Amino acid sequence: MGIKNKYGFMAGFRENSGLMNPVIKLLLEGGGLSTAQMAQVLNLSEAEVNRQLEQLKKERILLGWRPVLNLSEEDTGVVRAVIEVRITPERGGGFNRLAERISRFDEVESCYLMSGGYDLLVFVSGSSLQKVAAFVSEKLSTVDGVLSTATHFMLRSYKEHGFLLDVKSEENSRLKVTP
Amino acid sequence: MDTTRFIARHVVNLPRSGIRDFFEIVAKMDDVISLGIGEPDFDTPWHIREAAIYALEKGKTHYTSNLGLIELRRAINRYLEKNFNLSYRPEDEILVTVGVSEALDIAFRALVNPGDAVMFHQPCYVSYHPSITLTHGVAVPVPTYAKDNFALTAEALASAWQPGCKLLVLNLPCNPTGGTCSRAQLEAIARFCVEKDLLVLSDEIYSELTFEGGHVSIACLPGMQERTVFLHGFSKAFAMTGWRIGYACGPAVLIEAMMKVHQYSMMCASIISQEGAIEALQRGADAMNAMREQYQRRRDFIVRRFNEIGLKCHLPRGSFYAFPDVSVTGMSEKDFAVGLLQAERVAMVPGTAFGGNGAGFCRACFATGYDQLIEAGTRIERYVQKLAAQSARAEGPQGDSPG
Repeated sequence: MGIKNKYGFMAGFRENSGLMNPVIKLLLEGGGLSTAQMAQVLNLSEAEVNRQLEQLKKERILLGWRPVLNLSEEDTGVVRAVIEVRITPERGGGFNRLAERISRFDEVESCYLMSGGYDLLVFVSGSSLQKVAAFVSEKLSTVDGVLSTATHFMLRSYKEHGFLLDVKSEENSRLKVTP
Repeated sequence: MDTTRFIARHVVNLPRSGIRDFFEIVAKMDDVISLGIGEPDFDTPWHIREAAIYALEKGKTHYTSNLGLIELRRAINRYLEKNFNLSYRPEDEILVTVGVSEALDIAFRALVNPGDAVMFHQPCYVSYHPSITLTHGVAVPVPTYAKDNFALTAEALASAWQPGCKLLVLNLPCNPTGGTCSRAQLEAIARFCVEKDLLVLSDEIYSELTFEGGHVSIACLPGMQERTVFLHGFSKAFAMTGWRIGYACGPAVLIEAMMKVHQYSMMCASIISQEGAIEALQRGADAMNAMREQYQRRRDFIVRRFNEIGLKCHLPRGSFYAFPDVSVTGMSEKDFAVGLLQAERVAMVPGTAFGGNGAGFCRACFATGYDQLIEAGTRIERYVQKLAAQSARAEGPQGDSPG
């Protein structure tokens, strides 16, 4: 297991953290608390915590849950790549329509509009190198408006969503009682 | 051969820390949830650790000035100007030490003549009393009380004062009680110090961990900077306990006197820790605020739980310690702590480890994860309920005993 940065240091989030919902704060701290535990910490009923989570989902602030796994390619057979995509902006919608269209492919995990030498940074995954390559050549690069793609395959992860992957859970070296 | 005769008399008579005794019981047990730890559970933020690694790579492995790196002293001054409304000349009013512990020790050694009386509020950090004894001073404890949320009052000071008192040690917010003083209370203390011509040693190691109302240093009250040695460090707010790095600020003459003792004993603080400290002061605020916010949530939780369980606990305004009153169980704080440890494997430190005035209380450090705090709450509740049931049985059925 990796180790989350335990004090929840997430650059960018904290400037308005005063405004943030306490439930979100607890989630961001990454302690993996159950709703019952969150309820205890926040002095709310479990039903209230669940209601707030539902509300956050309804407002599309909380989109969903994903486990962060530490599995190598041999374990999962998943190949991941990052693709730099140049596209033609459209009158009226700019990059949005094309970006959304590309995002809808199941192979696409994340998609961002970037400044600089290309427009979209697209994270894709597939069950083999061939499948990812086929997605790029047959689906992505043939979309009308896509000018070019540059595909980089990922070789190894060191950190996923704030979790270090190759650091063993450190033995707790704190003394049990100190002044 | 009896080698004890070689030990200095005042050291032979020095008691061991009560925490040490308790530690030895806890160390032999497994699966203990320890609320007995006096340090952050967070590791030092990575950017600070990385700065120290970089310093090593760059060959920063030498002695520094006795006073400490001038860059660090400048950074300390900027930090105090910004956050404490205090200003000290980096050249001769700031001394970098090996933690506040060393700063206190050299302050006592530089300032106390044999027989000089030193006042300090109690319950308090374990080393004040012995440090005074080691310099052949006379320790004059001043009690603080739960009814005042363990704030030190000028009235208590006045009743404890005796002729010959020269120094007053303050530790606000306080380990173990979390108590601290309002500005008005501090002003009354400051007036008392001026009236009685006391020099203040102000250990403000928990100052950044003040949750409500902001921290006020006694040194920034009118007329007090010249009679205060301000002591601070990086251990608690920046989670840097193992780095052993702190500092003392005060009038140049006093800093020079302390520097002499420091120079002949410690020479200088570790350069690696000093480099880490510069990074902490310059870029550590975000991580520190994130940690403080978590401590506050944990405090709110554990204090609420203690009160629900029936162990009356004031809301500590600072530090990461709760100080619940366990006397309701009818047990001494020591019996309670040992019983709790044996029955439920939760460690809290008996309040008397912090001076006689801690009788009836235990210190619970909440610098530990929520899951541990929640579980500790459950176990303490079970233990207190068991004690209540036992004492109900011992009293027996009431009113219908056969004649």
